[in-house]
Amino acid sequence: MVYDRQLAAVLRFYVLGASVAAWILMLAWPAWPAWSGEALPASLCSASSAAWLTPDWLVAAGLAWMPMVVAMMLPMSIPALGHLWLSTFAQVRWRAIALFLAGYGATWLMAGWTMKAIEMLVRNAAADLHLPALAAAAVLALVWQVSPAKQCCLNRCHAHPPLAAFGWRAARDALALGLRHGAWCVGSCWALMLLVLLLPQGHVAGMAAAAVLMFSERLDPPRPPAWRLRGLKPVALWVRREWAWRKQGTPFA
Amino acid sequence: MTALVRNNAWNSGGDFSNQDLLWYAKGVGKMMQRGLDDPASWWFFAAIHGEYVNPANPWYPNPPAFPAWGDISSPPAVPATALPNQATQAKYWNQCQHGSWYFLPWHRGYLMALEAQLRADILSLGGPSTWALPYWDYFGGAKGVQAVMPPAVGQKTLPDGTANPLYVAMRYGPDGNGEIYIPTEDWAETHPADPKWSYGDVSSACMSNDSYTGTDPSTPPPGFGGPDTGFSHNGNTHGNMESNPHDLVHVYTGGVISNSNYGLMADPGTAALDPIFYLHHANIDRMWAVWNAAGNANPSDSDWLKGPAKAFVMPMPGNESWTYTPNDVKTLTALNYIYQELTDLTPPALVRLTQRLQSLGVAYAAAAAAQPRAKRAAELLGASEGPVRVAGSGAPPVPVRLDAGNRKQLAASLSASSASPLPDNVYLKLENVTGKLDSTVLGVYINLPAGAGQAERSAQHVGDVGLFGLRRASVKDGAHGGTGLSFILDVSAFVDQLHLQDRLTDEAIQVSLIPRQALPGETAIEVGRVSLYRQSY
Repeated sequence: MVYDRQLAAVLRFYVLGASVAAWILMLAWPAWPAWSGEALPASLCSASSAAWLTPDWLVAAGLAWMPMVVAMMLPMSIPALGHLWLSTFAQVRWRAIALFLAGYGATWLMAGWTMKAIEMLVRNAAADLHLPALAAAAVLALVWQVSPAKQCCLNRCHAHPPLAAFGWRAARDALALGLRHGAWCVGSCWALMLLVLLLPQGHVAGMAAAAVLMFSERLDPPRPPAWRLRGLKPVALWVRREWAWRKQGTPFA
Repeated sequence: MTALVRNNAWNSGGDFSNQDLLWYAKGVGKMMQRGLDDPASWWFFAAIHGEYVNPANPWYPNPPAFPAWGDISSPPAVPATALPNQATQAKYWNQCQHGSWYFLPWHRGYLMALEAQLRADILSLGGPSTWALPYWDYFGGAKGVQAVMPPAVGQKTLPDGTANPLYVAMRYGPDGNGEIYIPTEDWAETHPADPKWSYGDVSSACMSNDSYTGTDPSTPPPGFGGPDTGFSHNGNTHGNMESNPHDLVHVYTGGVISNSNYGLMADPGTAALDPIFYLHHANIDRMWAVWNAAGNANPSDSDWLKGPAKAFVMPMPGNESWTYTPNDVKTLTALNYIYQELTDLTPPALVRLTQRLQSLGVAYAAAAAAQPRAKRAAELLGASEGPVRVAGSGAPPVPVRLDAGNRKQLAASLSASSASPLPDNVYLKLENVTGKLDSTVLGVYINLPAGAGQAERSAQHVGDVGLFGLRRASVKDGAHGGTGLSFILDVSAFVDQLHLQDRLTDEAIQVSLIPRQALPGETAIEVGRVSLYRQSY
């Protein structure tokens, strides 16, 4: 119907719970059976010695990538999940959510394979190319971050189209919402993710910082696409709001 | 400090013998002499609400045409150049809060800032230091007499023969002929011969709500004041007060001639250029104060009190600026003004609820405890198969197919003849309405037979929606991301009657969307989905 606080609280509980679980999985399970035997954070961000683009590589890279998607990206789908919940009949709701997650996950999986492949290329290249590659990724991330194109992607993340309610069309629309939402999500965040992936070390800190930045910019409402510094303003404004509230004054008499 | 009194604009007959209106005109005239980039100018203040004067904004018409400010027919002569710098625009302009629980407090502060500037100018012209904004109470007076716009606002000249700054050429009214009135229920009753208004669609029914945000048995979603948008602005559904009367008064006052010529009041990007805007909003603000005075509370959530992350900010006289929160303006007792009239005759929530339950055969003690809040969100009950395109004089009836299981549960709830739990409420939602013609009012009807006459239309009528803000909400990179506007109508009473007549067994109900005035030419409005929702308690 419209934003419902109880529903929002329930969604937040389950989604953030899944996200926290995924963070814990990534950080605290050194015995994760990565093919290289390394602890998960390292294998997330490092290349494998296995031949790439083989089925083995695809599975391993996918398994390493998806917890990161759940941890970092899924919290930003809460509004879309809320829209889906309210727009569907109760008896097909879980099917719709599953299809949404499948579509969303599929898009991110494609993106993940692409980025892991790029990362492999860089790692397998001559050692003196590693730093220039990282620098190039940093410049790319910065340019993308301030670009109008990124704002277009962020704006589309907020757009929740109406969904068919009956039959196969309902299933189609739920899947399409997941795919579309995932695509705009990838569009907004790919450059930042690539940069974090190419970091020689400090992946966890990089992921955490990227997660905060992405969550913050997701809170901004849609804005006209333009070249501008974007990202931490909503968080900064929130801090300023809390500070002003504690001071509790108004100059208007 | 003695509180200033905002008076009824119809005092002294609503012409220029009313000193509030005369000084308002002079103050507006002085503000209109300043440039677009001057925060003390009429134009700057209008742009704070919304503007079409910066071509770089995505909602600016492309190719350039009305409602771009440069294409507005004078009077007034709206400037389109000397834009303030980008930082000033980002700080002040296009700030209007709509589709959000911040709608009422933001507008309260907006009016206070404008009033402060006007008072400073009025003082400099030799006017009274006690001047305050008058209000247009379109529900006031006997037999709808105040539903007509006070005459002073429509006169072309002031008593001294100079041009009247309150007069605006692009103000067409509900009939598109310059006669400005609001079709309230009282108005319709006193104009029975007018075929257009067999019922008045502008009403003060929202005053019977008892929840500022959210829903309960007496308050349709999203609540009297609007939906909870946390601390970021994300709403596309207008609050109950905002939908009716606020949006409808905007659209009816503006009126429409063609899709390239409609009244300034009909579009949020031009509305505040018309001085009647502030008289209308003073009444909306007054109605909020009346609602509180009747015992209805504002939210106590800190998210509401603190305001959105991007704080409200207004220019103040003498190049000052004022940052404020809803907490600063939540009650008139903390502010410097009061209203001449603070009473309202709308039946309170419990009376309406009792009437509904009686019609369903339930004995209900009106002195019962506070109404229950819903334990869960409203459930989808039915939906149209796809989008609906409205053009010309309306779309063919749209079948809204009902889910069998939910329909049975609804029928069981209405048959239970019980006050505990209360019977379900049913709401109709028009989702994702997009288009460009803000000046449209869509009449909504259920099960309207073909060729229905006036009496049948009245019987099958469930509400009206004014598409104020449609253009800006439909722009892809605008504040709504292009998803348009959504509207909710309470159709519980209508569904109760269907049930009592044993007609709640059909697989679908037919919803007709009929523009109050035929849409011109190739103009089309698209409704993404028509849905029905069931709220149980």
